[in-house]
Amino acid sequence: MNELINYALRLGLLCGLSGGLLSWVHFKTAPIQAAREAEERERAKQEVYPLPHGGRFEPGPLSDMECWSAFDEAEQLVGWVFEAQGNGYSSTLRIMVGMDRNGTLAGAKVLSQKETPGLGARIEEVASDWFTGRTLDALFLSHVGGNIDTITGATVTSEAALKAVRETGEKIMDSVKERMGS
Amino acid sequence: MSLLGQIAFIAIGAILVNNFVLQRFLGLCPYMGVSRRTESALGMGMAVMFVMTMASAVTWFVYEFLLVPFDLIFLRTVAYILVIASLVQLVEMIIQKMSPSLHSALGIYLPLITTNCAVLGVAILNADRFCSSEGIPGESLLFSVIQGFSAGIGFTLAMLLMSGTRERLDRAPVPRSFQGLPIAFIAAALMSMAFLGFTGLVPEGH
Amino acid sequence: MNAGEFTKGIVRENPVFVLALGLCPALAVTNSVQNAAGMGLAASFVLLCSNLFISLIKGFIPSRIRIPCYIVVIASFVVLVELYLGAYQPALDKSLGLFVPLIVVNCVILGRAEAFASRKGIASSIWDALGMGLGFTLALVATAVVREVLGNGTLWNRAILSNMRPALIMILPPGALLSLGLLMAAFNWIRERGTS
Repeated sequence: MNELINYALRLGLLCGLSGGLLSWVHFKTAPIQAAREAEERERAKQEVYPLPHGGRFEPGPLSDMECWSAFDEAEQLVGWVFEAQGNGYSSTLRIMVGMDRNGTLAGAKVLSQKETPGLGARIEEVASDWFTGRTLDALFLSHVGGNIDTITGATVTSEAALKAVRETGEKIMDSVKERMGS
Repeated sequence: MSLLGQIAFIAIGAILVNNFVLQRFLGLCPYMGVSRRTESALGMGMAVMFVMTMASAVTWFVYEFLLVPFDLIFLRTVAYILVIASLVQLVEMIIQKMSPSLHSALGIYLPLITTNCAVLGVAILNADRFCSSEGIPGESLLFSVIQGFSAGIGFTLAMLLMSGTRERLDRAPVPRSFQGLPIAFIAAALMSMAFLGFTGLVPEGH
Repeated sequence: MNAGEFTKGIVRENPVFVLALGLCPALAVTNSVQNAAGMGLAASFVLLCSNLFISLIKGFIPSRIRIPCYIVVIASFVVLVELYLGAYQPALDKSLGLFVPLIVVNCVILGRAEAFASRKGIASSIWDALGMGLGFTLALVATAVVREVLGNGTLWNRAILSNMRPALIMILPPGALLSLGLLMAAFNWIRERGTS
């Protein structure tokens, strides 16, 4: 019995030491990690929608997804930034997209994907070219009538990316139209 | 998607599409160490399957009722590995009591399950994939256990496939440098290539 | 003799190619040299710290509960690495993913604690850890060089094969198994020629 208590105490001491040390380190590093993640988010937003001078982002207009409205210095709505999600070939695609008021896309950046390296993963390279300057209704691959060339060997990923951005963008445009009553 | 559909997708995902050994590379040390003969491969596979299922359940409780409420998620690794080590100890004691012959057959392999990356791996994968979302409370526990169990099946499947191959390789004229592990790795590479054919069978992103 | 403790981990008892330990990360994170080096450093750090600490407190740990004690020590250092990477090296953290916490079940570390640090003095334990860590890192980097050059045409993310289309299979799972198998065979061949 004494042996058991001896073991428990020693192991307990070790665990306590470990817990204490780790909690302290966590306390020190957690704010750094949170700050970095927030900064990355901000940078991604700026990358896909260059804000006019003195402008800012505000969360909105939809509350069930990640999106922000962009306002200029004069508090006029100039566009949106939203995160489009869709099921790719082997992972969820998350793409940050900037769109201005008339539905033309200002930029896009793939936030996360785990598609096949060398094939679907190339969506990261082409996303900006595919989306910048196009309108939502032009987001189609060439083999279905649009003018975007699919990534060779990665049709599923290509279609998934376009579909995600198209549908999320349309959701935002629809919600805005509803609000304006038109 | 129906509950049964989701379960099927998780199971097929863990057994075939993302086979824990041949695609995710979890559980390789025992895989290479024990897969020489079919009896030991099967025995080890069963033991691992049992531990993985139980570990998935117990770690779920630890996560939901201990780590999350007290904001201790950063201690996840320590907590999980201690749970697994204790579980393996428990399983070893139970097997020793219930079937001494099985215990001596499995011998040293039982305590080795603690260091099997697949067990800790599936526990962490469960937490990342199922525990963060809202939804019906019991659902994430069910999915975690299903993934643990299916991953075990996948592990055993890979072990059995390998043991059949290695039993033949041991009798084949393999060049000196390749004997033992190197040729086994190459055989595994071919198997992994075959399993690549399952990609896309099940959509990963939910 | 201390030099021997250091060099044995690099060739004669290389953890990956000879002892066949730490195979999981050797296959999973060797799709790029950057990842392999990062993992090697992280694991070496944990190995060094745990060997040192366990050697220091070996009198304090009763034999019956030595494995749980080693696990607590190793896991603590792994969490330290996790916290550090999460805050200061997010890109590496994301690439290595699941395999950072899995360092705790890396057979090299627990193996060295049990076989070495619990019996030998502090200096020997440090040399052992440094040698094994270096051997582990070199094995991973060697595998990664093969996989990244052949599978992606790059080395440390710099393109080096511009005319050839890379063999995609090399950065996919089968390529890992193939590379490791071939490298192991090559290692065996070199060792055999060395002793004959």
